[in-house]
Amino acid sequence: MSLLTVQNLRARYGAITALKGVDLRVEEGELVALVGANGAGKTTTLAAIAGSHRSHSGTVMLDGKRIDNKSSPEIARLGIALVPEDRGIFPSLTVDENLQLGAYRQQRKDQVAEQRERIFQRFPILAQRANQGAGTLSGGEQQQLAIARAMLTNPRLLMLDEPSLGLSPTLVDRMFEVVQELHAEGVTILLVEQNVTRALEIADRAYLLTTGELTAQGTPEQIKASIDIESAYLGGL
Amino acid sequence: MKVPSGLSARKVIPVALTLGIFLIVAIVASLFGSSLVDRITTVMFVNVIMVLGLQIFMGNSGLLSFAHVGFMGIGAYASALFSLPPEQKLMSLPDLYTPFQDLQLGFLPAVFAAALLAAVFAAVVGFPLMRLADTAAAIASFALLVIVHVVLSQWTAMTNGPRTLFGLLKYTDMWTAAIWAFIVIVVAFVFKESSLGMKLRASRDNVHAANAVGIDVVRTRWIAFVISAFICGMAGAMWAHFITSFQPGAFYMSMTFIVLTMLIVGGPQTVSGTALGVLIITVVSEGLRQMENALGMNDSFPFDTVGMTEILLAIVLILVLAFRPGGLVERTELGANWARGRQRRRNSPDRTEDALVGKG
Amino acid sequence: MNDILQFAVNALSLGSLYALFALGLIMVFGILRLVNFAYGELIMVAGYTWYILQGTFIPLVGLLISAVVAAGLASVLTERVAFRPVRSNSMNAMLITSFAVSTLLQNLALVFVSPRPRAVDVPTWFHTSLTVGGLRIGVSNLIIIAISGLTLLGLMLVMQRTRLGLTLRAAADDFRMLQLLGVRANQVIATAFLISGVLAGVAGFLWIGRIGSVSPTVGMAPLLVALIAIVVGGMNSLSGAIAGGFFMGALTIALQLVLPQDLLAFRDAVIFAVVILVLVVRPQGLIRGRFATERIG
Repeated sequence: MSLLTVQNLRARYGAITALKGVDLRVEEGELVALVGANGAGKTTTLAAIAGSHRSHSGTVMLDGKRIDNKSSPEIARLGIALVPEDRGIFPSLTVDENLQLGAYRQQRKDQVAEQRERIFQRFPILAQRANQGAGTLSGGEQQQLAIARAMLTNPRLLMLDEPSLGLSPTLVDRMFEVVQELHAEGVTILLVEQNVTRALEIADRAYLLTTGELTAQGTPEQIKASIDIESAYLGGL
Repeated sequence: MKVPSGLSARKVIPVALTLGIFLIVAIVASLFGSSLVDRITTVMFVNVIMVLGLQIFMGNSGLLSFAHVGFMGIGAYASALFSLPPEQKLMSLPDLYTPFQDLQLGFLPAVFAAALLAAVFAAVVGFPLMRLADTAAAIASFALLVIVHVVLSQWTAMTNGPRTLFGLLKYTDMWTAAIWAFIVIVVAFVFKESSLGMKLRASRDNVHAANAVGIDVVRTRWIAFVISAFICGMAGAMWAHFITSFQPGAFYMSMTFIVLTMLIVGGPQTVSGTALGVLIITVVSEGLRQMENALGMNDSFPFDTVGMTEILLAIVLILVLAFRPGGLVERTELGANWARGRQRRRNSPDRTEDALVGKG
Repeated sequence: MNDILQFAVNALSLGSLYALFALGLIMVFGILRLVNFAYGELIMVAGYTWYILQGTFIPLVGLLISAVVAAGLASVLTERVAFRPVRSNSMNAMLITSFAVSTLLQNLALVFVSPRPRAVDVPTWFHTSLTVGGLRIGVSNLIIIAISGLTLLGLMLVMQRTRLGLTLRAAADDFRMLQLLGVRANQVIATAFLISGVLAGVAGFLWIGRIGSVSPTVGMAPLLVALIAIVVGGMNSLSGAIAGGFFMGALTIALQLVLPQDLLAFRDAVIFAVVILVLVVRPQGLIRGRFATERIG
């Protein structure tokens, strides 16, 4: 059984249809990339899975149990963490307080402390800035904080929405490294990216989303090939 | 998008139906010949004018306004000032400024001058407010209501201050109110279907899209605000010349509550719904009022009974907001579907209207 | 010199009350973006609790605590019964609901108590004054400043030092994200209403002690003051609301000294005109500086 199964997911914003029946699955331990052009519906897909986009239909299952009718806090409690495109940092809270909210539902203090240690090793800048207002962080630092906070929820599935967006080239490299590291540690990841080349380099499998519909799926090589064909005929993504 | 023009059955039937219902109410009420029924019906027709005045702005723009009862108050006080005979003014408004002392207009000129004054006031103060949305708009309009209330209750020379202003002549009778209510019903329907009304409804459904297609949202809202203030001022003037003595407190929170209840329960986005809301709330609250009085006479009920009606109306309002937030007649005017049913059978489905207002 | 000190004490006393009123209103606004028009009625509830329980064995402190509990419960109850079912609808629906709740509570008081004001037994020492170094200070002012100060301090501790405060501050920043972290909306909102009610209870008890009686419409003036204070304070932070409250307190006392009686009557009209102006011209509020940058609400 797949960890996450999405069947015939449809979503609309008012009169505009954003998703026209998307099917995808993510296996335990996999790094799956969901790629496509701006406005293809990638963000909507993640929001619908996380329960923060309400007007959708279709089936979303975690471990074979339906979660599509649940609210976003309930879905989060089941172990799906979303790092949204805008990072969702609480700007008036300190870095440390942001992290505390990630660990909000964990009971065991020693475990949390241990996890924080590991997070600070991975993102040393967060340790330095722990007592600083999160709103004063740079874009790259905010992205690190958002991922760190999501990891503190002990997610079974980590969904990253455009983690490289708006970052400098060096930081983009670092971000993809981090995603790869997390994957290597066994974290299951659903990655949404506009940076198709980089995403396909690290993914186990990938889906190509074009204006609300899946137009290709398979290994990164297969996706690459179909993108090449598509761009040959349609003039690129 | 095809904009339907001219008269179609879809547009005429709701107007005729709404007018028909209220005509029947007026005829039945006059057959009763009881002064109580006459009083209730007259106030109801004045409320139709008032609430439809508010609907023209609120229903079409989607902006909440607490200010309109203030415009009603301006209409009431201004019409009194214009219509009171000079000798009566010496008693009712002893401190009145000299230029106003000899001013006296007939009933209709006084009503229109008062409505115009309310409209001019709305035009001046309203323009900057039309940029605001949601909570800010609500707070600002609430502030406007407070300002009007303070001025009405403190400007003793013009209004007799917080005390009762008395001595108005009773010009408004049931049929006067009814005829003006019919006119306002037609005006509200025409406004809704006019190009201005269409633009306003477009901005209600999606303000960014409306801006993008070149609608001047602020200006459109402003014009509607002024028109609706005119009608509310008119309602105030009619009401004043029916009640003949009143205080500034009449145009404050409890009146705002009643007017909003009628609008919301009926359905602010439809003219027929709004009008129906006035009818229903009038029947319900007058019925409750009679029970209140009966209970009040009965010594076995240990509490004061005044206020029971408001309690029940507030509960009704909350229930409607929770379970039917669009009101009783939500989107499609009463009777418009009959026309559509016929049209469907005749030709291909005409969904223009739905495409325009299809989403909340 | 004495006049200035006198002014300062009066302004501080009234300002601290106004600050509590404003805080209670912003507490809910910060999270739901709802101006709770029924907020004034929580103050009324505190007043009637005092009126009903006075003359029993309960001492004054017990009456204060009862009033605070009653206002807190009333606030949570209105959230559960009226606001929660409407929450997923439009903002207008929420605003009108709060207006309906306000009417409902006022008329309940009208029917079950009386439309006329009812006197509360304020101890005589409350209205005496102390002379300190030639300066006469009203006991009422001292008590109001002390209790409001303690309440403010307590609130700050809750907001800054507890998990509850942390979630409330986060919810005011980005409620959607907080839910994505698994925090349930209903709990956070109910807590905000509880704190709002408690603040209304404390401030309401002091307010009603100050004016000596309670009536169904007693909450109107505090609601208006709180509304102005949060608008002036920028509607986005607890500290802005506090600053707005103290500003309003000082302004009220100053205008009483400066304005002639017949103009004083129009004071509220002028202040509300300023509110409209602030909303239109400076939606971020009048009071800037370190208050506005440090968002804690």
